[in-house]
Amino acid sequence: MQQVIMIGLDGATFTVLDRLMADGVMPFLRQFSTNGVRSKLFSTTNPLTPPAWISMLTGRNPGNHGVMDFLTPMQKEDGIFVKFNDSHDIQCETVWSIAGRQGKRVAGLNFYGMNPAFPVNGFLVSGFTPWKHLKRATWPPEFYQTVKSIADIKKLGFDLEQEKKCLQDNQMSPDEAEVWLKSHMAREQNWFAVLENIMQTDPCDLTAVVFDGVDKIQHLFWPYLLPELLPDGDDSQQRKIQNLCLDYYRQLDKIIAKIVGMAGDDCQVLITSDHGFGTTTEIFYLNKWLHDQGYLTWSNPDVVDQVGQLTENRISSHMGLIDFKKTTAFAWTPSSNGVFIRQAKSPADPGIQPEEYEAFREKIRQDLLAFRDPDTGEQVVTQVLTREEACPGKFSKMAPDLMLILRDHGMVSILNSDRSLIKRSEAAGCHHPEGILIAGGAGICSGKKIGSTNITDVTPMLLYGLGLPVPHDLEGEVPSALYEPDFLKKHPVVKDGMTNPVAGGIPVRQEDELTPKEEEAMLDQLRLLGYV
Amino acid sequence: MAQSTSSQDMSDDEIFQNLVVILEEMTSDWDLEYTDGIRMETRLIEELEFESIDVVQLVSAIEDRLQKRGLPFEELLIQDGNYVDEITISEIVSFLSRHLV
Repeated sequence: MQQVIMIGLDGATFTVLDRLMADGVMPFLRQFSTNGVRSKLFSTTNPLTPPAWISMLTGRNPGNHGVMDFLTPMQKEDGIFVKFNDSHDIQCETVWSIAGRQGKRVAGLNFYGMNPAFPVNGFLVSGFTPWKHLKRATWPPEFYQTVKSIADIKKLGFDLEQEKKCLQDNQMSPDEAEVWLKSHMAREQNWFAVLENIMQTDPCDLTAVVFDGVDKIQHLFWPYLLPELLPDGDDSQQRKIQNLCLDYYRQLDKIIAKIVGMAGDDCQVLITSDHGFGTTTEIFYLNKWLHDQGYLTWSNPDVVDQVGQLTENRISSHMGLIDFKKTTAFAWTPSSNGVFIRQAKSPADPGIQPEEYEAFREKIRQDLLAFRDPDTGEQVVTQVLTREEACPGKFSKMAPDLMLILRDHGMVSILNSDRSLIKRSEAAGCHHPEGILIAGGAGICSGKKIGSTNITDVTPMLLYGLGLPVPHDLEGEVPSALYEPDFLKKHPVVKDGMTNPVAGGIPVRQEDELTPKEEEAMLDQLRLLGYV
Repeated sequence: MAQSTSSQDMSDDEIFQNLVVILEEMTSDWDLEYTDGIRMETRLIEELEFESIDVVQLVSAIEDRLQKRGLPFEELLIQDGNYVDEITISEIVSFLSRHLV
């Protein structure tokens, strides 16, 4: 069939894009959207970059692909050790591999979790990777020199210290904000340069890129995008930041226009986001609440958040907050939005004994649901899901024992506070489950809005667009309402086969043993890619 | 992709040589000022200008090259409940020597 392009806009929401399209900031997106199909794209239960992008690229929910968060807490006898997730942790085959082993060439740029890069039939440069490690995040290895020749790798890379500010409101001065916003414009331009090089010199069947500045800008400057949230007054500094934000989206619109222009008429284009964004007006201090219920002991109870933060500035400081030997339940990171229960491995260990686990977990769940806003009496935690409910699958045990959904979809704070619930001094942006899908091109309906699609539908859509069968074990579906009836009749959706047990090149975990059939399938894949 | 090496029955010198390969590859375009090459005494933070995220990447690169995942690096990186301030190559060699058996 035809080529497929996917443009990922990390955290994009129609709440912002509709305004920008209406106000003339994003004229190309408005035209593309009008001529195509749009839909809310529902994210993973915890609408967060790592599980969501990996679900988009595998067609599986986090309970099956195994990536729950940026970090995995590994419980040890006397505390917690942080493990950063990477491509080794993806336990399902990615779309790069599914398409590649069937002869399609692929290019994936700036996607979370692709580091270290693994063999694909085309190109892979991982996102969310510091510039110093982009070499290892690039496939094929020799493509790194090309990347260096056409882009500034220091601008492509991920600056952890800067990004942490996205979780720490009000930490950036106006001058810093200007530098930061301009750096993100430069980043997107550099990623576009890499993409343009591939599209012009070695075009692939599936070409995909993520622009992640959208998420970052919405985290830090949400009220500037929704001016009704800004305090009244004529503040020149405020207007300056607002204009810089709009400049970012103007530039992004031009980049999207160039990509779609290069793609040509017989191409399908999907514009997606891993999650949406909404407004948060309060902070729920989950560990403070757990402490008050008798589940958690602070290492130093006198250290109390005074400025409305969600977490410590340094990840290593997380460990020092809690006395784990005297704690049975805790929140590990704001982004995991969940409660981890410390389980004893033997009767003498600290933690909850196996026979007490279910009742213990249910008690916390009911108590969280019963928690009320002391000012209004309203429910604050609207849903509490067990990990089996939130992330069904082989790897559900890697999820928090309980996953919370707050009434404003905000992330919890893991710090200590005077109260469990406080009002923010200013409204802020937070992740929301309703992301975006805008599709256009060959075979796709025009001027249509469809109710909702799921993030796991994206891999089936990409495979269908490439003319490939959709493996039976994908959880998503090809949403037929997206396509013209005649196109569907001529190109019926075919479901066939299963995914391979691992993505191309990613080593199988030591504890996993491949069956002879699986081994053969993996060897076939490596042969196809020319490595065996 | 770096060449993988079987880690079983490696001598300390072989472990060291593998670390040299990993670190030289990793830091080749970091514009570092050190001129002595990677030695057993080399300090990651002071001399190779490592930051915490670089240590994470190094752990992953070591596990890839030695084809051994899930090594208890916390024993090396955390002491008395806090992340260590400095690590030398010899400390990594010693740690790997204990855990690659």
